[in-house]
Amino acid sequence: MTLSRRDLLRTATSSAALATVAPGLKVAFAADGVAKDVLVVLYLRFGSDGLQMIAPAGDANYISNRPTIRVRTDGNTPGLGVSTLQGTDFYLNPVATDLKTLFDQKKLAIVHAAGLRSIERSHFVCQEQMELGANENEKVTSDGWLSRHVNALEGKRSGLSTVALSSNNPESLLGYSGAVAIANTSSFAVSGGDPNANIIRALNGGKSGYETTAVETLNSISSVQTGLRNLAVDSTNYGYPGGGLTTSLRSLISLMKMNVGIEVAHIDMGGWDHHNNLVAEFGARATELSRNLGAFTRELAGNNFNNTTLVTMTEFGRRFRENGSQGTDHGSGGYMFVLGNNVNGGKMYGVWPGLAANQLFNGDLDVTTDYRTVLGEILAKRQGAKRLDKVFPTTKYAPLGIVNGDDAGVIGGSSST
Amino acid sequence: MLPETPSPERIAINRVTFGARDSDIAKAQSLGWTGWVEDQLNPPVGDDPLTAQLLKDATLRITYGERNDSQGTWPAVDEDRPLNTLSMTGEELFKIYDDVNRTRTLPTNEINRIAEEVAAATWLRNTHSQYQLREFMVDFWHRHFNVATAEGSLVIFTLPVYDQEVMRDHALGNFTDLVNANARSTAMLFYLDNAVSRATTPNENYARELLELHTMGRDAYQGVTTPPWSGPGSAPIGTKSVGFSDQDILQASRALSGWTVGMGQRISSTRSLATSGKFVYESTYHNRNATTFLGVNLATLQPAANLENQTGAIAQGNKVIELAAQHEKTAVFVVGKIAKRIFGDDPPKAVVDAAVKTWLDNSESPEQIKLVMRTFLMSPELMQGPQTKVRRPYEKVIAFARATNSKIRPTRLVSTAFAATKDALFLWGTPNGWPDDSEYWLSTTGLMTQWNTNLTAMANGALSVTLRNESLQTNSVSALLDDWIGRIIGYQISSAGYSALRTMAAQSTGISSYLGNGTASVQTQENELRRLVALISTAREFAYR
Repeated sequence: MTLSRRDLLRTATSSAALATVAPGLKVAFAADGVAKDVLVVLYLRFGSDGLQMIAPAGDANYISNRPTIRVRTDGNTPGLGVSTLQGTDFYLNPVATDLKTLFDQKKLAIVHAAGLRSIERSHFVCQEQMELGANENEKVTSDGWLSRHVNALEGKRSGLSTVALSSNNPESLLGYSGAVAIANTSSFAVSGGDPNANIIRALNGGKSGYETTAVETLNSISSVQTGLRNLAVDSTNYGYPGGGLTTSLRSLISLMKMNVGIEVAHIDMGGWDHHNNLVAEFGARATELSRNLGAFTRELAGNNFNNTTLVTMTEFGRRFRENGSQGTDHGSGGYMFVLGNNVNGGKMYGVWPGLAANQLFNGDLDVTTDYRTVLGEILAKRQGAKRLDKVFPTTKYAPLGIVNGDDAGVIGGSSST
Repeated sequence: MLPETPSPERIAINRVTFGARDSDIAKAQSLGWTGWVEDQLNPPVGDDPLTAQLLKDATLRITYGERNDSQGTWPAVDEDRPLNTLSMTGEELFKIYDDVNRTRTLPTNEINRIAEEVAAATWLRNTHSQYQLREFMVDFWHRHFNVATAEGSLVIFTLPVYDQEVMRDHALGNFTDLVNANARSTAMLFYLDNAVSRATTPNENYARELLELHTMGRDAYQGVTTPPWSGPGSAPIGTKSVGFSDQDILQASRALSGWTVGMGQRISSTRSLATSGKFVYESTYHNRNATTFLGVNLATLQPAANLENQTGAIAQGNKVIELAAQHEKTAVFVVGKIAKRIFGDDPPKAVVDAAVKTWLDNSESPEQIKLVMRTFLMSPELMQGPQTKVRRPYEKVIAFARATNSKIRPTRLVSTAFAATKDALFLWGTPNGWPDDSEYWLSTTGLMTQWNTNLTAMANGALSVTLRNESLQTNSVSALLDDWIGRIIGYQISSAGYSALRTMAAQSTGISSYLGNGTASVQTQENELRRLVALISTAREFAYR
């Protein structure tokens, strides 16, 4: 698959020019003056179990199909009641206490039975479909949905407007050559500094993929190094648990503080593939996610970053029925969290399909809200995107009211069915 | 004067080894290409004498404090210990597992140690082995049948046996044999949960990945053809299947249930499994309802309920593996992957087609993989540019070590460096193994880490070498530069790059002193030389092979 690598990267000098906003007012403006949130896409890799994260704990079908691993309404560690959807009561996993707080503070919205409606149950096939923005019946394109979104936005972008907080770019950013992968801002530098960096630049003046990436790397390093030098150290304890997700979120906040023009950030969190021993292993991941999102929200508030919207996605939920190893295999319907000050939180969205045999899809939770419906609304209302037909050509624009914002003039895709 | 383009032998050798050195090219020229190929295709069973000695002499530090409480009882340890686990039997390795998990007379450090020793042995072999093609293929198979140490001690404790008996013994042998060995390995049985699969609801993880990743590949996946829980499979018996569906995965998971590892599991009040840490079939774990797999009826292979005969009992699982390993889609998928490993994202079609034919023509041959590799190695395309394969981070470090005649010192620094490059054995968390296409490896943090690893590896001792040559015969910056570019890259680099390096060398007091014009200390001279060669390795000419 060959992609043209248009070099959209701007140099360090023009990204510094974006730092003209008044101190304390940390909002990036789009070309036409519309307020734009920093969009954070948090991909939960390998099938996060929605029925364990937001459990219909009192539902008879749920109880009989997950006899040993289910979330309970009673006992020593009952689920944390959040809301009711079409008559079914839902409970957050008992470990997700920060998420419960965020829900009660109306910053967190939950979309259940959301995701990719597909007969496929393969991580790799489904991740690819989701990251390229397709569904099961559509031909996959060679570019990612986030790339199409960034390419469709108007206005000049800074060199660090689109960042993946990992060592490598995700598939959703395939096709946008300006995407920069930074795993950790505090160790983002060439050993030996500028003398070595300059020689590396001279050795890589050509047009091959490696050379183009080399130059982008050196330019990004230069921007980040300059930015870091001007940042004060923040030793506040926000309650981060440590680990990879903490590193990613804190690196993101450093970049936001540097005012380098971040608009879109992508973060990966792995480890959700719980084929066995789900209660303990899912519990550990859910705790990590919950504590990190709580700490992240506190650090954003502590820095007056009031305009950030974070959305989670996962390629599928897990099998409705537990397997013989106290785990769950790959399923269908998943969930999405949407988190931020501009979110109509404290509510659940979507249509609960139910768990009776005739309500299931191939034996699993059905998908009643296409993930692109949720993403499209966020792109339109919080990122000023107008041409959603270029991002999700086969998805109609149908906002659920999850976030607030102005979506006048949005052109959505047309449904293929 | 360096040639403007790489020689054909250099191109070919760089594609199928961990990096061509001048001595490799000289050997290929003296034996002739066919001679070099036959030498590489027929390695002896063990390592060459030099590599064997390096493995014997290698030590890795291990340190932990003593403990004496309810969590365990063991003395303090602080030693530079040889790589003892490499030659341990399954039973000896199981004892370590048992001592850590049951009797608690050893800490978990001793389990992690096992993975560290296998990794260290791998770095040594990849860097120093004369039989580079075998190393190349062992590396390929490890990544193809990826297991991750993050899954814990059950996957880790038999890694030496996994490396030797699954990968090394079968790397150039028969693919069906390789899959069979892999399916019975303790590491894979635990990694993909087949060992804990039970008759009531068989675990589908291994069955799915066997088909999707190990044999037929993603493109052969047909999705769900019928609702999975509504009864027997839908394909008429005898239909030759074009691919596999979720229905096939379900049936395969039933056929393969009962394949487990003897860890002393209690079966009944009178019977427990052996404590061997090895493959064992347990009939009470076996789901008897497998119907059709890839159009072939498995039900007729059902073992009798009281069967004592192990061979008969595992017939269903054997059949699944045989059908999957010998399917046409498997040939196309696996040979295609090997071709990408050799040539890059778009391997030449003619060679791939020829190699697929060799694979299919030799499915029963004990030399199947060797014959396929011969097809690749004797192809004219192997020696032809353009060189479009992006060297992955691990390869770059090993190639750098080979080109500079450095020794890899298996220390924590090296494992941290490899982990930081994100391209380290056993560290990729999911069964598909590290990606092998250019776009993935060309990322900002990726490149930065690769450069930094080579820039610091000699200084921090990860690579052990003295670059200064006491009998240096020149005082010319150009001659020195050409010599090192010749060794690392083998042909002329861009003039802008050459110019920048030349300026650096000319302005460096260390290098000037080395060339006889200055009084900088020996250490400074060495440091500057190291900096110079590491910078050469950041050039685009070293990035592609």
